[in-house]
Formats: sequence, C-alpha cells, structure tokens
Amino acid sequence: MADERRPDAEVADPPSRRGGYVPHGIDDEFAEAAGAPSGRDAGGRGPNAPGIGAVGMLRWMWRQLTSMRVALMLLMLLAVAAVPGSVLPQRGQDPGAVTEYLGDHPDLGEWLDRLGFFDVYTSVWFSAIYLLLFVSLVGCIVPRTGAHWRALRARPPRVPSRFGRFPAQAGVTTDLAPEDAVGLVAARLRGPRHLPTFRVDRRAEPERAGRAAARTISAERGYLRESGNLLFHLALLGLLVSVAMGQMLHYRGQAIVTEDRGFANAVVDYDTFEKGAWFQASSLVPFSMTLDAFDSEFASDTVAFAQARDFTAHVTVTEPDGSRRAEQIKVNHPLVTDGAKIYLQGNGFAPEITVTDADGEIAFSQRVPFLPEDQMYTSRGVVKVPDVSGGDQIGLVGYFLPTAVVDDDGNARSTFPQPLEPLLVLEVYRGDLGLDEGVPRNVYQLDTASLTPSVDETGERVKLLVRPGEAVELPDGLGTVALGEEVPRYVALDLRHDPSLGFVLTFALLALGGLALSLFTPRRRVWVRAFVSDSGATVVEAAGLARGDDAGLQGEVDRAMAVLPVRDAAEPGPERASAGPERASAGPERASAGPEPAGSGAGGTESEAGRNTGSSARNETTKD
Amino acid sequence: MTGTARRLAAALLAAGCAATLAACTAADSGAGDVAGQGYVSGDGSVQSWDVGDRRGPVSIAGTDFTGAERDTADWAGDVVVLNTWYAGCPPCRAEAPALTDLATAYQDDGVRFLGINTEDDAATALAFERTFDTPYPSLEDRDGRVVADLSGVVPLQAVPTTVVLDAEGMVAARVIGEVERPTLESLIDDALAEDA
Repeated sequence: MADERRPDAEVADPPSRRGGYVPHGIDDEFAEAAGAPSGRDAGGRGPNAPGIGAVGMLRWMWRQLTSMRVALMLLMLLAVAAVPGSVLPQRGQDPGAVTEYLGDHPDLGEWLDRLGFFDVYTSVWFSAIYLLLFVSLVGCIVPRTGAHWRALRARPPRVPSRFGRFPAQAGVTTDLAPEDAVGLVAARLRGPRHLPTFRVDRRAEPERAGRAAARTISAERGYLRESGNLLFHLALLGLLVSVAMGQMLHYRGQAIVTEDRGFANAVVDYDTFEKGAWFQASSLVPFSMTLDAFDSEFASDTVAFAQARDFTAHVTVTEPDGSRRAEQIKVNHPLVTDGAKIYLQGNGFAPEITVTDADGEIAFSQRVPFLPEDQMYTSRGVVKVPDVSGGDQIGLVGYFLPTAVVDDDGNARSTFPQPLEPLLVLEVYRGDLGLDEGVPRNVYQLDTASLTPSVDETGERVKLLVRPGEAVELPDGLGTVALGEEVPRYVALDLRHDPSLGFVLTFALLALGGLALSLFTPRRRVWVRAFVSDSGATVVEAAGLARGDDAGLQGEVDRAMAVLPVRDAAEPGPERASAGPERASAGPERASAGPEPAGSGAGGTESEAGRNTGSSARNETTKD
Repeated sequence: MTGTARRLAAALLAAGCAATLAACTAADSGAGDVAGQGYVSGDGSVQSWDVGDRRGPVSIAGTDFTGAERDTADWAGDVVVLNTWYAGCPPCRAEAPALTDLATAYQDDGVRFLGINTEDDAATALAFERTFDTPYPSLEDRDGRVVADLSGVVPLQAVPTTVVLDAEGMVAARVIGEVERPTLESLIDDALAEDA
C-alpha cells in the first residue's frame, strides 16, 4: 500500500487533491485525511458544474441543508422567529390579551392572526424552521457517524517522506536494530493495553532511490475527539426528542385545598390544568387526597422577624383501590404518588364567610381562599354572592389580616403571619356580578364596572371590619356578613407529571460528557522512521503533527522517543547522522535520559560511524 | 474559529432554543379554559357514543345537600343525566335554567337528573338551587370522591360537564362546558329512543 508509493508521487499529490482549503506552509496530509475519507473523495466529488439534473439538484439541496452554514442560518432564523412570540400576546398563554389586541388593532391584528403571529410556536412557519433544523442536525450526524466509523477502522495515514517541515521533530541514534527500536517506540505510543493512547500501525519501507530501507510507525490519537463530538450531537438529538415527548405527554395542574378538604386527581378538580397534546385525561390515576392539617412556623425574633421557617402539609392519600396512607409535603419535598409529583407551592388563609341576605336566607357560606400579598400574609380575596333571595347580587372585596393592628385613623394592617388577631376588612358592592351570562370569569377578581359600591354619608367607601365569630350588618340593608370562629388554612398544590425527565437528565449528561471529550482530547499524529544509517547505527526519526496549535505535541514526540537507548552522544557518528532544526534543543535532554550504551558498544560503533560518513550525503532524509 | 467550535456553539444554542420552544408550545391549556380564571372550564364540545362503544356501567352514590343518600343504582332502567356545577361558575349559572326545564319536562319519562358539586358548602349550593328552582338533587363532593370514581369511566374534564347515561347506566354522551337546551334535549331523546 503506502510503502509502494514512490517519493515523487508525494510531490504530485497536492494538485490532484480536489476541493477543500489547503493551508500553505504545512503538510496537508492531515487536512486531506480529516476532511473526507479518501475512498469516497475520489469517486463522488467530480466536477459537476453545469447540468446537474433533478437528482443533482436534490443532492445539492440536501448538502446545503445539512451544511453547517445553513444550520447556523436556521438557528438564527429560529431565534428571530421566536421574537414575535415574546412581543405579541399568545393565545396559548393569554387569550384575553389576544382578543384585546385584535380589538385595538383591527386591520393589523387580522393579518397577524392570519399569519399565525398569535400562535407563533405552533405556526406553520415556525414549525418549518424547527423541523428543518432538526433534519439538518440528523443529516449532519448520520454521515459523520459513518465517516467516523470508517476512520476508526482505517489504518493511520502512511508516513510522509520528509519530516523536516513538521512542527514537532525528534531524532535519536541508537544501537538497537530498526525493528526493535520501532517496536519499543510503538509500544510506548500505544500505551497500556486496556487504555490505548495511540493507534499504531507498523510498516516496512523498502530501499529506494536516495533512502535506506526503513521500519516505520504511523500513529494517531484523538479519535475520541470526534467520538465525543458525535456523542454530543446524538445526545442533543436525544435531548430534543425527549423534551418533545415530555411536552406531548406531560400534565401539570394546580389546586387549592383547605384543611379537612381534599381533591381528586381529575382534570375537573384542578383550578388550572395544562397538558401535552398526547395526554389522555383518562390516563390520570384517580387517587384523591385530603389535607388533614397544615403547619407553618415563622421566626418571632427581631433579626428575621416573620420570616418563614417551615411549612408542612399533612395529607392523606387515598389510592384508587381504597388504600390510605398518611404523607407529608414540605417545600422542596414533593409527595410522589402514581407517577406524579405534588409540590407544596403556596399557602394562606381561607376564612369561612357566611352572608345572610336581606330576607334572612343564607345566600353564601363558604371558605374563601385569600391570596397573600406580603410577608405578613396580608391577603386579598373576593366573595361573590350571586344567589340572594331578592334584590341585587352582592360582591365583597377585601383583605384578611392574620394579626391585625388598627391605628387611630381606622387603617388596619397585619403585623405577623400567624392568625393571632384575625380581622377581615371588606368593601361592599351590589349589582350584577356578571356570572349569569355564562362567560368564564376569574374567581379571584371582581369586575366592579357594573357594580355599585356602598358608601357612607360622607361619600367614603364603607369598610366593614369583621372578627372571628362576629356577624356585621351589611350597608344598604343587604343583610349580614359573618366570619367563622376558626380560620382554616389552605395550601396551593402543584402537581406535575413528566415521563421524560429521566431521559432528559441522561441525554444532558451524555451531551456534557461528549462535549468534554471532544474539547479535551488532543488530536495528534506521530510518525517514526528507523533505518540503519551509513555509519551503521540505527537512526530513529520522529515527526508529530497536531490539529491547530498544540503545546503538548513536542513533549508527546519526545516522550515516545525517550524509550530508546541513545548511543553515546559524544561520538561523532550520531552527531552527524542527526539533523534537523530541533536537534540542538532535543539532544541534551535525550542524552541525559538514556546513558545506557557504553563500554564495548562504543568501540564498535566508532568504526561504523567512520565508514558511514563518506556516504552520508546519500541520505537526504537526515540531512534535510 | 474552528468548525468544531462553531458546531458546538450552534448545537448549544439549538439546545437552548429547543428547551424554550418546548416550554412555549406547552401552553395549550387543555379544555379551552381562560388562563388565570382559577378553574377549568369547557368549550361546549359534544361527544356521543354508539351503543356498542359505550363504557360503564356508571354507578355513583353520595350524600346530597339536604343530607339524603343518593345512589344511581336505585335508578336502574332509567336514563340519568349527570351535571357538574358550582354556584360561582358562570356557565353553570347560564345552563341552569335549561337543566331545570328539562328535568321538569322529562320527569314523566323517567329521566333522572343528578348534580355533582365539588366546590360549594351546603348553604351556598342550596342558595343556588333556590335561585334556579332546581328540581333535582346534587351530591356534595368536596373531597372529590364521586368525581374520582367517575374519572375511570368518563373523565370529567371541566365544570360544567354534562353526562347522559343510558338505561343500562352506560355513558351515552358527554358535553364539556355549557350545554345548550336543544343539544341536551336531543341527547336525552336518543337515549330514551334506544330504551323503547
């Protein structure tokens, strides 16, 4: 194979190489072998400028799509295409805002809607970019995997004829036979059997014009770099697929549960529920859960006053088969049940409010969750009383203060999160609550536009203060409002199920591992040639080449050569035989590394060295 | 910049994009509810099943708001209409008059109506029934037990959901969201016709 090539074939080689950028001033063996596998290069890529035909056109398009340049363009495009989604309101998140926008901009809005700007992430054009990028990634990885597979099985590239222009060089003169010297270096390069460093190929070069017969080593390391790179890409693909799968199959719901009450794992029982496209509501495991008690601890010292110390929800889970078990949910310690994780997301007070209408009928008696607005659990809530016996519907808006302090002006505020001195402060509205038209409304908001607030003689809004166990008259003869003796707590639970999380983690770790491999594996080639010089000593020469700048390359070559016993450096023979720019610096080091050959061996070589000096001009390689 | 580094950068960016994308596309909120309204509402979609494809039989039992025990097993051979509701739910209030009408109109045909209320305390629920003159009982289901029993057979995806059970107690039809009077009427008629 390689050893049959004549030296002049080397010279003829560069012009024959088609395509690919060949940097000047450096031997491009490396670039050629790395750029494309030589076998395919010769047959597949001919000059095909005019008339490529339909198939050629398709092939060209495929090449374009899978090229790095187009992948980068698609990526940029994706980033740009995602921008409208963050600027314009999206139907998925906020349909109300979309409707509002359409109302404000009737002409522009209609066109934007037609072009899918309100559903950017599910629009045709966005999907197109996304899918093209995906195809591009696959189309890039698959051929590269094939090429890498072939590269792994191919022999390292043959030894170049001249070592002079390589960035790392070394030379040693030794008494060993070329075969043995090459064996030693090869073993050193290969490294331990279970963890080989270099892939080594030993060959023999026959004698030919201007050069003695030689033993050679072609060695290459750094295959892991491309392996890591491919692993990274493949893991990325896996990551994309598993994230997509997760988004298709996941579900997530939030529910507010008050003490002694529960919820069932059914879509209907959630306050909000979102799910992936492939999620089947019937696949929800119908367990139910009750909140037995809720404990909260707050700091009462001055340093961290009112800071939350601990929240614990004591719950009972009832499985579909009827079995019950007691569990605890804490912040960051979710309850795992039936494939879902239930997180404790929030908590607050749900005071029991009873409204008796003007006719003395109980129109409303319910626990009303008040949403905390500050650290002291000053909580805001809304009470809608639609079913009064006669007259206007009643709306109450106000605050629940767990530990209330009322100042001289009648303003109340909360001073501690625990219910030490609970107080309900309410404003009263009457009129049409807007519930009877069937349009869904937010239960935590009162649309006061069509309601009349109750005011006192001075025109100020009436503020009712209600304490636990008290009943207070509503203004305008609307009835009474009462607050229950106990103030139940509620917890906001967040239930999530995502079957892909394990895969996501695995692929993320694989991607990281692949990235590390591809970044930290040096890619190096080392060539060694050993031949008997005219002086009769064995000259071993080595050259190293790395991809890009590689500070460790010379060290690698030197370490490989250090295994060779050096013929005494003081003798003239080896001095003569050694040549090349690196010699001066490398020589002393090697001399100190290998002082072995001495005594009788020295005498023998002296005569050989003398004999060989005359014909040393013949040996171009070493002179060069 | 080497090709590898560029590819890496691109891949990282892609991963980032993909993650955000996937997060964004997930915003589909299921049963067509208005985001942030605080409950899951329906889109009024109607689904009915042919006799052979029906699941069931459904049998639910519980306590109604007057404290009486109710069990659909006692109504064997009757067409049963189940309806989830609560007092503060606008579509429930909007459809309540139609349900009251139909419950009264079909009383003689042996059609039974049963409400399921997962939200309200008795007083609130009774006030609602007073307002709309609801002639049929409703089960108090604040712990979600009834709904959990049902969800294996016919998942209730929203409030209100209306389910029509045929004479065998099999699920004949389901309406997610506010039900229109004519729709429910024809669904009940169909179920009655099969029975005849």
